[in-house]
Amino acid sequence: MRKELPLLLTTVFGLIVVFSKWFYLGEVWGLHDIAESWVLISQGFAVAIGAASLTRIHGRNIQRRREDWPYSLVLLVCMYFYIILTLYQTVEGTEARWIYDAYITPVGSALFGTIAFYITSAAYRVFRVRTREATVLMIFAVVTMLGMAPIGDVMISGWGDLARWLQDVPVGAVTRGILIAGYIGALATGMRIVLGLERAHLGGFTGG
Amino acid sequence: MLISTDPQIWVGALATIAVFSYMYKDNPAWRVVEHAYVGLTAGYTVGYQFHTRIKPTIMDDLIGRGYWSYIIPILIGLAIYTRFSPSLTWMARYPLSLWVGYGSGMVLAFTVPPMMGQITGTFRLFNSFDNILYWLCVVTTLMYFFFTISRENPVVKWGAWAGRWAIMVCLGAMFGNTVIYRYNLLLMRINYLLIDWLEMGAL
Amino acid sequence: MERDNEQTFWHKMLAIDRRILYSIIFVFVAYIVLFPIGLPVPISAHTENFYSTVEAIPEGGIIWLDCAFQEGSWGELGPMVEATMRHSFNNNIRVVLSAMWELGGRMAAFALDNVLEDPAYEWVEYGEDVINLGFRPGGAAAVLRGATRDVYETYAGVDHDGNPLDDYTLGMEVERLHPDYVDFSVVYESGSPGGQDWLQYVTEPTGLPMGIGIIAMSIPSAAAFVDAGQYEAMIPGGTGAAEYELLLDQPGEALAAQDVLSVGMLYVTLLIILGNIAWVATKDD
Repeated sequence: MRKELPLLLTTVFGLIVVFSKWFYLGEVWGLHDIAESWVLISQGFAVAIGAASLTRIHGRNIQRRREDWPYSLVLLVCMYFYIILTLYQTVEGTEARWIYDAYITPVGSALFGTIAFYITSAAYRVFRVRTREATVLMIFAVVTMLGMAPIGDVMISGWGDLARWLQDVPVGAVTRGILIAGYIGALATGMRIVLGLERAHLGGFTGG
Repeated sequence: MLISTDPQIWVGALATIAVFSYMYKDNPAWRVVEHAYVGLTAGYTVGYQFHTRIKPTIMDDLIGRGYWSYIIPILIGLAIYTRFSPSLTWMARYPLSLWVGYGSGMVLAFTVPPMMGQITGTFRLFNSFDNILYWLCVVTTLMYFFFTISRENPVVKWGAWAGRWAIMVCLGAMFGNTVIYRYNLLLMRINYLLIDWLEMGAL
Repeated sequence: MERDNEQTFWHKMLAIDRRILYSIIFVFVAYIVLFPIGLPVPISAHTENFYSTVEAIPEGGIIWLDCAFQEGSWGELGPMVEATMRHSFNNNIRVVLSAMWELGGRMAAFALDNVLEDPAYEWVEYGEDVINLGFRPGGAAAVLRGATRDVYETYAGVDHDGNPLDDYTLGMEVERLHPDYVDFSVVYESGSPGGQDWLQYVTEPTGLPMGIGIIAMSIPSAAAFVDAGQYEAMIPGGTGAAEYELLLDQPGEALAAQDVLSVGMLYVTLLIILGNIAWVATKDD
């Protein structure tokens, strides 16, 4: 029962959605809406799993005075402070929103922004004309970079048009090939899961 | 040179500098900012979900409307926490099976029309160089990912070979696009430091 | 001896400290932010097509704009939202804003505030000419499917700020996210959920035409959908946003960013070339 019932649940919920989409009665009975509300409610109540995992890992760091444990303390203090604050006044509360705007938003954006530095350094150190494939990759990267920014056209008239044509025709077409392959892969995996042939999502646990 | 007097901008600017300082080398300021960021975002998620899902389900649906059947999904959701107990961890399969089943159903139910649009869009008149090239790029890319027929078949072999080159062109262009996007993000942060914080002029 | 010196130079170049590379980027970008060059920006066919698509919406019509991004992508997508809103107001088209991303509701509000600050749009009345429905929790699939059936119920009868939709004529007029009520829709996408979700849950089931405003990184995948006719039009990346601003003759944030992008791309290109020369010069060692 520890494996069979979850497998059955997977199949039933998958079929409910498919049935509701492709058969009139499924929509009439509101089966999809029921399944959807069950999924959303269960996900809502499972949301503290991240906070629980962080507490477990960093709580141990502090308890055992591992190296860098003060940072774990910072993490847990910030997390529980913000949980209490947002539970009390919602995430739209004045202080909660102030912290979000002052800290979470700029730090998140700065983390993304630093990638520009790394990508530049990587371009200098890794982009080598070692093989014919790497050479092609490099040439088209340069054509795109300069062509999609106004500088390309300033340097050579028509460079921008070439870069945009690349995006639309060969690159767009290859992306479509990858998209179609992705769709087929997703459908095949979905089918395997609903039919109970794919069980990886039930693995990784002991005791059953 | 003026400087902002808004404490919110000061906090953001100092935290941004701490993030950038990691590029020089790992340091305590960066570590504190990083750990505080992880803690605050995890806290935000809990607070947000509590007010948008947990509270409405209990107060409005269960108590208000008397939807007592919702106790079942609540219990299923709570079962995820059994992951921390070795003897009960098997119960965590229930929420996962529900979510994966529903997600797979959504894929099966809703991805067919967009996929068909992509497939039918590939069939076009061979009346221009662009159309021929487009068709060739799609087909050869698919051949590259196609493992059902042996690569010993000459059509598949050469198709996959051409597909490999087409993918290289695509990856190169995608790298170029990524660099452009990342520079745009960096520009925003530098604007934040120079314009919003140091008030050094207007973009 | 000369050969030795040459090798030493290229070896040094290869081993250059990454922090020097980083500092040069920072100085370049900061300099251009403070002292723009004003390079010319040519208009691409995609942006022109997007412009024409919005132009074709009849006066008094309704356009629905969804912000599927957060602050990190504001630099590319924010100016697009603002430009589309300006364009719509210029043509007396009413605007409904929504967000598939939680922080997208705030991005929509921010873009709206920026546009309404312009004296040219002081005639625009919230609730009559524009409304921001913001974000609704519950997952993009559920919210979009719900909105195609009943906007009022899906958004719990309130806008982004929690004000009742009953108080706004536009809020009550758009009963469904459906071609019967809306003329055109645009998703400003920086990831998932985004345009493909809109296509699956809104455009394919209802037939409501859609366009896309996309970050530079995802232009090729959006181009595949534009080619198939599934997306009617596209604004390609921050450069597309700058082109749109030019078409409207209302230069803004996106246009100002183009100089930095140009210099940045030139710098990366030079580094790639330099790195390869150094590698070729030293590889025999």
